[in-house]
Amino acid sequence: MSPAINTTPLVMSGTFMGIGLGGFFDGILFHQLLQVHNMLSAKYPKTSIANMEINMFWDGLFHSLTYTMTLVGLVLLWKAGARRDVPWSGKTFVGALFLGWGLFNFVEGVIDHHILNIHHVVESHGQSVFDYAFLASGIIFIIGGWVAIRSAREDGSLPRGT
Amino acid sequence: MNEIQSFTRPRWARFIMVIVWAFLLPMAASACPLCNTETGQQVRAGIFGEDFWPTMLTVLSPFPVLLIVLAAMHFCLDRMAKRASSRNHS
Repeated sequence: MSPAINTTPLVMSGTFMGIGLGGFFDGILFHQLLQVHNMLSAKYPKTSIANMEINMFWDGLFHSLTYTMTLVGLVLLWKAGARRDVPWSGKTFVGALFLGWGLFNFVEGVIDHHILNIHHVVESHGQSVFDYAFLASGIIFIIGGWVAIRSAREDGSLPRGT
Repeated sequence: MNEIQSFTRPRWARFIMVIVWAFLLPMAASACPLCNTETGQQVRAGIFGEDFWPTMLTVLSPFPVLLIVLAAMHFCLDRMAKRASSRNHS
């Protein structure tokens, strides 16, 4: 008899890693390369060295948590890899990565950009269309990721123990 | 042997001096949270002021929400897997 398929460990590890990598993507693209906002740029505008350094500190704190999420995802992935009932599906894993990235964009967008207003995607514009585009990207990634996970399940991927 | 030691001691001393200067020189010129400059003090005051803990809570607030979502997701996926496996057995 073939063992029952259990995709949960792979989905959970991918989602943790997706949240972590989504946080890093945000930090690298928006905070460092484009420099359109920082963690507390609505409270401490980047008009002085001191304010930039204060933002850098809080950026670092935020990214240490995205790092932790990535690390937890990696550990879960390692554990999932050792289980014979978990199908080793790239589609499931990539879907979970996008699900996690979408969750990050949506939750971080709602809390930081709309409820707490500690920063906005393009700080010079304040709350703008970019904040809504960021939320929309989160919803699209969540739906896309979930669809990929579901379709991988319907593909009938078999656990490695069979 | 003594010759070698007397030669290496000053080299070690010079090496240590270079390391010490490498750490101290940037501190005199920069504005990091640990730097002993006017800007460094402003940075420290801005970070570790009276609103340090409220700011910490604000900055980290998305993560508890994400963890709750992940816990709910794990619970739902587990239930779906159990339901599917009992359907296969029956």
